[in-house]
Amino acid sequence: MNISNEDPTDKNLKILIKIARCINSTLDIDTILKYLVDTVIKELGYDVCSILLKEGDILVNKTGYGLTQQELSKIRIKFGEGVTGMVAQMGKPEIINDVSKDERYVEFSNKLRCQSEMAVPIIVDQELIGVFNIEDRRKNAFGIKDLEIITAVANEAAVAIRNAKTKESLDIFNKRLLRLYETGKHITSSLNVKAILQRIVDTVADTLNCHMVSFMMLKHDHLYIGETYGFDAKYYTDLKIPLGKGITGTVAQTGIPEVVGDVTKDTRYIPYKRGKDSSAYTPIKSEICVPIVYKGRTMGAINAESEHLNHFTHEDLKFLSALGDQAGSAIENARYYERIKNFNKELKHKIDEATIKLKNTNVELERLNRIKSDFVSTVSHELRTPMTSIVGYISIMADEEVGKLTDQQKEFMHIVMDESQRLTRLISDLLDISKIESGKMKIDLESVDLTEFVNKFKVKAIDMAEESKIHLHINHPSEPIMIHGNADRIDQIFTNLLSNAVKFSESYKNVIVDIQHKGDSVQVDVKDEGQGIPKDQLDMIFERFHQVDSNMNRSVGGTGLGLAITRHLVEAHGGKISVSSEEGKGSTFSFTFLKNGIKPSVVAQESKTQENLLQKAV
Amino acid sequence: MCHKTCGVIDKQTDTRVLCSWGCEMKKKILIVEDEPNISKLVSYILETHGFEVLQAFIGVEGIEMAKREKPDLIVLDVMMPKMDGFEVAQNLKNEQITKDIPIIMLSSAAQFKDKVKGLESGAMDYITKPFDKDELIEKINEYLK
Repeated sequence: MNISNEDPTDKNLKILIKIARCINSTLDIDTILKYLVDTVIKELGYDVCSILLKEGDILVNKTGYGLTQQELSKIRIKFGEGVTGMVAQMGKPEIINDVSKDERYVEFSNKLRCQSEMAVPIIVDQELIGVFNIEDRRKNAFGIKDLEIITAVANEAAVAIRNAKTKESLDIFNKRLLRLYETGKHITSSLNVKAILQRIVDTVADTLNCHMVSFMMLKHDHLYIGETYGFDAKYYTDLKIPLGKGITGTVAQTGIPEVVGDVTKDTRYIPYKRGKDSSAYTPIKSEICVPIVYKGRTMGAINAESEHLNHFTHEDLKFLSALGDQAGSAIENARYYERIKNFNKELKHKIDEATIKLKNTNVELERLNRIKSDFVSTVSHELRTPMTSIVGYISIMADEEVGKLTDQQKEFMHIVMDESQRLTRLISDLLDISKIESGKMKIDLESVDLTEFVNKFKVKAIDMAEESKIHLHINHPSEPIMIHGNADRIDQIFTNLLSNAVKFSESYKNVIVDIQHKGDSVQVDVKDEGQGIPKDQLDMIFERFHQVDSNMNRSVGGTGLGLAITRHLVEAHGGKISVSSEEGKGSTFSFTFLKNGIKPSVVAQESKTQENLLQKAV
Repeated sequence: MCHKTCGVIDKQTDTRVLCSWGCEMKKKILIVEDEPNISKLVSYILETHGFEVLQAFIGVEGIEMAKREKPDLIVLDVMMPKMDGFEVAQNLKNEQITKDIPIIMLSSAAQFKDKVKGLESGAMDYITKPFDKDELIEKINEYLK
């Protein structure tokens, strides 16, 4: 048909050049389609022109002239349906001169009352991408020329549409890649499994534009709901899909992702209910499902469903698979973290429990210790009463106050006296040790002049030495040496060590006491020329009830507690005690006191009034 | 009047004189002690040193005797049933009639805190059992001066 006098071939060529120039200058598909329709109508004067594009296995009308937007949006034609569907299926154009005589004809709009139709497939590289549909109110409106020009336009359009579609899918691809990157970054940095699942289903629902998403977790050969979108997971808490059952179960078992375009035709499909009480099933049509695999082990599956047929594409499958891979490692990390967290929690719980047990044990031990110390204290008092009588009466007899004694009687009396004194010492030492062990030993430290103390102590020391015929030498600085100490306890320390030195020395040997400054401390060395202490026993010598294992020890009458008490007393003064010895040559006990102004690390306190009272009394 | 040498042993002659100055007035010492053997021991020691000895075997009896007899010094045991030595000492110190009598505690409680408690309750001195008889006599003489 010609509407001008121009040579139709020239005119068609011009139109074709114009269209080609225009549609190839843009990659926006809507612009291309609109221009095509407008130009065909304007230049060729048909009544109706529309372009339908293939989406999955249906044709969707994207743009058209002569039809309202509402009419256009309704047009969704299956392959083989109507004239257009048939053209799409066959891939060959058709001209219908009288539509009333063609059963296949479907009227898009009843206002126009078109009588003839021409449909031309849009094909590029043997792939159908859509159909050009043209109608006219006249009968026999289309001839061979019309077919030629529209076919030419369709060919031109095919390339442009394909390019535009490629661009569009590239855009989508880029967008999805970005989405994948963002989601991946988010979930791999999250350590909370629940948060990861939430983020994944949201991303899937948003990106694939679908109705329902579920994240299924595999546990002991069954899939359980992990997280959902589009339906409430609380109705499915007891949902338990065995491996191999349903589409999701199959995917989880085989590890092969699947796209199901029409679930109503798939016998494996298990429909979901919308809610607990509703018997209505969701009108789901298509489904996509990918397995979650981490290091060769299936952890679950992501499942997305749509109310549209053929909603999911292979692009979607690629996207979902990539997301699934990321989800696998993210979940595994989070699980490890949660396991470690739980382990720590458990550990802390165990430690707390053990601490409580230990505390209770300590309380019990303290109670037992107190009972022991009370017992020792009581026994010590009780022992002193008979000892008082024994020592008292024996000393009267030994002094011959009640009658003359033979030499042998005198000797024996003295043995009884000595042993009684030893027993008395043992009672005192036991009480001291018991107090030390129960932490009740309190030592009040004050300023003591060590030089003054030694001058007083000398008198007692010389007596002790003379009794055993020992040469005693005490060397000390003449100026006052002020130390932190308790005079009674210092006396106990000196007496213990000196009596040991004397006890373990043979007659006419030397015992030397050296006192000298040593920085912040004063050091006292008590040196004897006795038998010495075997090397293997040096470490144990300060332990209670330890006595050097030698032939001599029983004859010297120790209690086995003296050195243990001495060490505690020295340490309570903030000092240190040590021993060096050479067998057969003698031993040296060295101990230190802190000088005044040096804060001792161990300070035991008693009230000042008590101290004053004592001083007054002495 | 003699206060110093009553009951002191003359070491040269090894004989006990009641009083080297011829003093006839013996000093009176009250022993409060629940253990008969120890009471007897202390009595013997004091008597041989020229003192007149009074014995009480429980705390209450000791306080009554102190008020009645007004001894020159009291040797007081600490661990006694019913009323212990600390309480006896406090009672004596609270009575006008007995408050100036010196008290020496003779105790089997050898801990530092017991010593402090004894001195706080009013004793002049605190001797732990078993005691040295010479030390006891020395201290008695010191407080009788």
